[in-house]
Amino acid sequence: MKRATDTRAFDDPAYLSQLRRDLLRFARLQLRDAAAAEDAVQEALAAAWTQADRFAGQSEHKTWVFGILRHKLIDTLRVKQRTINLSALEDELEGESLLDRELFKENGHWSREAKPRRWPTPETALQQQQFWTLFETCLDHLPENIGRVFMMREFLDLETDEICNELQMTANHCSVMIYRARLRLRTCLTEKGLSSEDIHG
Amino acid sequence: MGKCIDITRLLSDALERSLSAGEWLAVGVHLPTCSGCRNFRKQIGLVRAASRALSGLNETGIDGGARE
Repeated sequence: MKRATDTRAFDDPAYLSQLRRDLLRFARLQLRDAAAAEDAVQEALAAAWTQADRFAGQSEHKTWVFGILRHKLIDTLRVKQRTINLSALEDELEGESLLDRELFKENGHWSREAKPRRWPTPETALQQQQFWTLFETCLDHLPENIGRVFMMREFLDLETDEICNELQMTANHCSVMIYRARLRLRTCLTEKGLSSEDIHG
Repeated sequence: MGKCIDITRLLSDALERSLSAGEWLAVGVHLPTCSGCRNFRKQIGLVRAASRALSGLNETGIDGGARE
């Protein structure tokens, strides 16, 4: 925000309530537990409050609060789920070969119905409430372990080798899971109706 | 010419690590002939941008990977 005032920019109630919603959405997706998400967000906001003087504006404040929350979520998830359950993982990967048969022909090329079509540009899509609703739904539908590795990478911003070490998986395994998550998310978003035509109209 | 099932995996890996020369070649030969994989590439770029935006990373939420 450009405006400079004597009241701190992040005391703005409209900004704070939007920020709170964004933080909760993020925490709920990671923890899959509304009460625990609420607690984590509350703690992150409280921690930021005690440091209030160090932020120049809302954008800096927001980055910082998200950073605190991210660390909290990483700690919480570490305690909760140390390793990957191997038999559950094998079941998931079996499910993946079913998906491959829907998407690809036997020769390894896209099947006619599944061939990816044009989507809206990021500039357009990310502005649409409809997109975010679909995105959250599709994230919730990811198989558990695939979703977990993907979230560690893209939401908690951990490096791939950090994730592999922590879950005691090979680098190849890790990158397969991230690939499967991306493939599933784009497939789910398409099936739920994301297309360049719809989103404009 | 590579198969879409392998090329899509490489396109995902390219967001995680640098591809080898051989891998780049396979992608570079395949993409001009395959609109499905070209769209796939843009789609996973959007998925990444959305994930980062939702996590409060990258204020703009949009990085070069997703552009034309």
